[in-house]
Amino acid sequence: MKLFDVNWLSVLLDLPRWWALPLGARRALLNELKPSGYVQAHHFAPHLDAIVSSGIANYDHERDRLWLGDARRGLVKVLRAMSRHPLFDHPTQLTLTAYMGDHFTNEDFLQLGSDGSMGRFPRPDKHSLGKRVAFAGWTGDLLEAQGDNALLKWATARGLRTDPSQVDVSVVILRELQVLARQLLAYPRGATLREIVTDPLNKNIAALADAIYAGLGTMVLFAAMRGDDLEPMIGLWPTVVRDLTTPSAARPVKAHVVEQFTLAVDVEDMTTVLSAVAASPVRVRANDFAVFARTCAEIETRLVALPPWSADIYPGERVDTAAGHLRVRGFVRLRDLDGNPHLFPTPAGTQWLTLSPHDRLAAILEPLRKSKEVNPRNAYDASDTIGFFPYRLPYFEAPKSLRLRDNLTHLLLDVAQEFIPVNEFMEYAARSENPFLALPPNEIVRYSGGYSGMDGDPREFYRETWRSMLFQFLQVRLAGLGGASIGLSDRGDVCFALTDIGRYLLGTASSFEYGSNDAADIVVQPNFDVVFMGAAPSIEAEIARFAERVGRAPGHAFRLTRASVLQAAEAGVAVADVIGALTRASSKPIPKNVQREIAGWMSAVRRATVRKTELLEVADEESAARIVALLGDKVRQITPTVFELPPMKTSARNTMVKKLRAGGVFLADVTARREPKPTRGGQAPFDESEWDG
Amino acid sequence: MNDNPFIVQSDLTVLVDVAAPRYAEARDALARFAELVKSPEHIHTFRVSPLSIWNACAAGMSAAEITGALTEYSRFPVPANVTSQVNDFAQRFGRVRIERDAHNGDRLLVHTSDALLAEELAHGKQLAPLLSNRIAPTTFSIRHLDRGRIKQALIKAGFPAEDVAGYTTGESLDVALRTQTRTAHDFALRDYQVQAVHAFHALGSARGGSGVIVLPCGAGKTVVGMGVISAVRESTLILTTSVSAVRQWISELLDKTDIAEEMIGEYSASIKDVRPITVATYQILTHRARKDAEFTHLALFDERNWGLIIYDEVHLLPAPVFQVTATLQARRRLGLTATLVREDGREDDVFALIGPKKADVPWKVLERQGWIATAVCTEVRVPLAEPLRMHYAVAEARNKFRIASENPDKTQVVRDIIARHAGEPALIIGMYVDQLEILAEEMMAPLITGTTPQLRRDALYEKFRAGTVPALVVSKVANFAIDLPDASLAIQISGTFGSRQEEAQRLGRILRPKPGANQAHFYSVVTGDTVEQDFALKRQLFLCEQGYEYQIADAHEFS
Repeated sequence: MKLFDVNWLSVLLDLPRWWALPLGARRALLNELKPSGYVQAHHFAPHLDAIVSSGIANYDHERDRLWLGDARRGLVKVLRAMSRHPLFDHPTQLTLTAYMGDHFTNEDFLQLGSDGSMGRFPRPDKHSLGKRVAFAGWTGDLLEAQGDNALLKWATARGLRTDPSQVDVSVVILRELQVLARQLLAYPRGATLREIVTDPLNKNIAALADAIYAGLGTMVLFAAMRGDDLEPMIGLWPTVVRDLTTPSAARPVKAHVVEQFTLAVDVEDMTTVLSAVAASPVRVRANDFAVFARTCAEIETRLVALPPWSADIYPGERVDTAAGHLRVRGFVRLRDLDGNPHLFPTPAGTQWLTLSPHDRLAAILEPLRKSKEVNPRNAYDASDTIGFFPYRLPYFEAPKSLRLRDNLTHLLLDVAQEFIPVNEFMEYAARSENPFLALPPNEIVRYSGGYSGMDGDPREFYRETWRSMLFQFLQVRLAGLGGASIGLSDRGDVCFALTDIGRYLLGTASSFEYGSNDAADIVVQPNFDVVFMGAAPSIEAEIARFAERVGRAPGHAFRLTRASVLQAAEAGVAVADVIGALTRASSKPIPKNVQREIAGWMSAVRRATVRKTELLEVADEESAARIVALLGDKVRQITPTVFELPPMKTSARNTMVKKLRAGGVFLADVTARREPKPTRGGQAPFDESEWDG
Repeated sequence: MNDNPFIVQSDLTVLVDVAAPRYAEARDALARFAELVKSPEHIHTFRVSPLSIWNACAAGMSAAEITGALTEYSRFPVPANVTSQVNDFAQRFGRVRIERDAHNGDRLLVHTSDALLAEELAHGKQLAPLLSNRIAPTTFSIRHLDRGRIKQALIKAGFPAEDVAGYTTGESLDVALRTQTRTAHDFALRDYQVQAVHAFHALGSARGGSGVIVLPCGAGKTVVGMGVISAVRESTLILTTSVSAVRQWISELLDKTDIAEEMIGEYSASIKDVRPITVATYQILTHRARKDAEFTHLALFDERNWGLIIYDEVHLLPAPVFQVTATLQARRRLGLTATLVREDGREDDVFALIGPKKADVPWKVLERQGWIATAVCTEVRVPLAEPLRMHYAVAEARNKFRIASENPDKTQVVRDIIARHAGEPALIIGMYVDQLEILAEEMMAPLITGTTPQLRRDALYEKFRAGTVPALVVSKVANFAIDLPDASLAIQISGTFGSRQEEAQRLGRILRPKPGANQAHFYSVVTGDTVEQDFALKRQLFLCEQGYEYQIADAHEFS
């Protein structure tokens, strides 16, 4: 420690001199008084008398000048150092590292970070150590230390020498420091030294001075000047106080929701995107395989509208996310079309599309449910199989004693059977039901390494890891698959509650219902408008397959148009599917004219095949007759002078050419079939295997 | 969720569930501040707009009453933006008033109680030249001639003026409605017509005297116009859409008022007769020799000291008439229409220059009360005969519609429909005279086209009314021939592509009340799987959105 390496007892005893000064005099002293040499008295006007009478500076009457005597050198050094870092006015990571740079050396950093918690990268600098210091655990360890041995162990871990031969700190001082730190928990933005010194608890000024010195040296305490009144302050780091004084997270209680929403959004989005792909291959960008903006916008209009308050639960870019899910599950593949990558449906995808909404969801849930995964895979696992967890553990492998799937299942079944606020659940899980924190210490270490973990308190890292894992599970596995209902509470909190789908996924229910039990009904009007009389997301998703979205439910959400119905027909939807879906959802009979038109539109659907062929053309009918004579039924005459050549191997083609030559018919172009020209700036066309491996 | 009828959407549309228990009272409340956009069978759509709110405010409604009604009848919470927009629209109305200048009869005063608004108006690009004479921080003095232009500019600025400057007195006219028509039928205004007249006239006060009355086809807009004439009792200029309509007005005035024939004049291309009641067409008023010449006939507005000007079918009012109307703000002005929606989007000019909506009666109400007939619309699809299919397939796009329209197999379908409705007088309406001639010959029914002399028409109409001619084949003249006799069955065999206006006109032919079940049938015979069917879909949507029952049948179902 550089600037605070002074006799703190002397500083504390001299402080009343400073307190006696008015603000202007304090400012003049800090700005004008030099550590050595003289300063003309007029620089301190009009506070000269106050300064002189405080005794902090000495006055030379003859030459009308002031200088700093040795007796007060320590005080002034401390005050000047404090004034350089208004830490408690601006407690940021930036001000903290600046403070550390001013007061500590690299050797100090090494000593302070030598407790082994830095894993395999034991070279802390002020930035990494600064993050760690700002976490609650840095000071929390001192506060939690029980008994002298624990205190000494703590001190050793902070690089303090505690052996009797070379002692930096005694257990007495450590006890005093512990008391002072506890006392400072009541001051989130630091306490003035006046408050501390005059507190009856700190009657032993010498012990207090030692404790302050030890605390500053271990960065448990920070000293700074308050900008407004230049009052010397001391305190714990503000975020540490906040974390240590926050009561432990309480078990979340049932919330009263005013709106709720349940839908297997991911499955419905996958259905919509796959329907679009089945209707016509969807081109994607070659660099990131994202669907082009225009197509994406077209498909987005058919997606179920999500409640605006649920934006944190359902991430954006739904079309690309759904396309990603489809690719991972092998329902679409990337293939070349006209030199550009396109999404094509696979037979598995086409088959999946024909299933009922319930079965489509079941097909997605089943592999997850049956997965043997008990812990998330680690970040370096390159396999792309779909597991129970959508999360990767940041660093290293899970120890054998860890069974996060069991922890997660138990936690959800325990607290999320009814609507609870998401934030409260995460906080409760991270702080009170955190399986990482329950690991034996030797196993904790296996998780504490890595670039991210190195910078912080491992406990914060574990809290964040568990919180992230749970949140991703809620987003991707529960909310995305209908496993949780999402709600908005009367207090404005986003909440969730497990559904039967969620319990099925967690393995505690043997079946689930989906797609048929939405309470709200729709009205199909004779003018082809589809009006939702309430919110019914799964019906909305179903109808989006063959209707054009014009608004949001409840309200006028869709219009049945010829184009939308034909698009559905192209994707394999039948008349009965459309009428059936409308009838099931509607409280009123489907108008006959609507039924009639839909049937008419769909009956007009015809399928045709495009194929490439080779034609053989001659100049006149007489030549054509000779071709017929030579090749017989091996060619098909399309017009009087044009023949279609059937697909044939090169050898057969050569035989045919020879035969024609022998008959006096010479072909103008008998070269071998041309390879398709590359169309991507000379690159080879896209190959399926190239993309999907 | 409750069973209230409204679903208020954040785009300011309101869906109304007609099956909801409180539908009728909710609709009546909503109609005061929202416009009906479409009314298919189950859910009707209304739209709230600045104009609709200002119309409501002009009728004395407050923002609180409007938002209160939305909340009262809404099934779900009313979106916050709707409430705030309604409040915003409403608070803009009446902040500017146009009043008479008590000290100077040649001038009017534009007054606002808000100094900041006065400043804003004084610096507006459109308004600044008109408000150059500022006589107090919040008061401007204007010329009478600028009254309309200022109202137009104010509404464009979003601050519709409340015009209480009143009207000049026109030439006195002694006119009253008859209790028995000249054709010896009992006659009296229906309740809704009386209410409309009262709403407009407002006992002759400055609060009334200008505005628009919205009534559906067949509800008697002409009769309401006559009611207003008899209430105002001043010389009247009536502007309407065609010569046929001019003559219909004259005929109705003679039939249902006690005014003498010589007091009524026709002002059209062929006759220029200006009398205390003069009926003119918009076409003649906007006629000019060259594109850059003056509209010479607009002088008609100054030919007499008109006390009332009636704008029939105000949604069709042409732009030059708007211009001259802007200078006629001291005259009482009545707009009559079936819809406030204009294709050119100049609804705000109608509001500013003619006046706010004074009455609006939905046709469903009238149908329920028996004032108009219940119509069932049926589209009958006829396949195209094999020999014509190739002809159709290779035809140019513009000829396909005609080939499909003239499908000869439609004749048999028409026969089958008439057989199904034996004894009901039938109008067979088409667009192509060649097709109609063949059909008339095969059906042995008389044909009326644009070239049929009036005497022959009258004779045929008389026979049709008497029942000696059971069916009339008519061309496009049926769209506008107001003297066409009533029928309960109309069969449309060809039309002008997807024209909604034509569809409404043709359907209007059969909407007069019928004895007995009060039921009318409207058939459209179209060729299936052709472009004619595509156009028919547009008409189908229109009719469904108007609330008519629409059925689709195949030709064989009638054979």
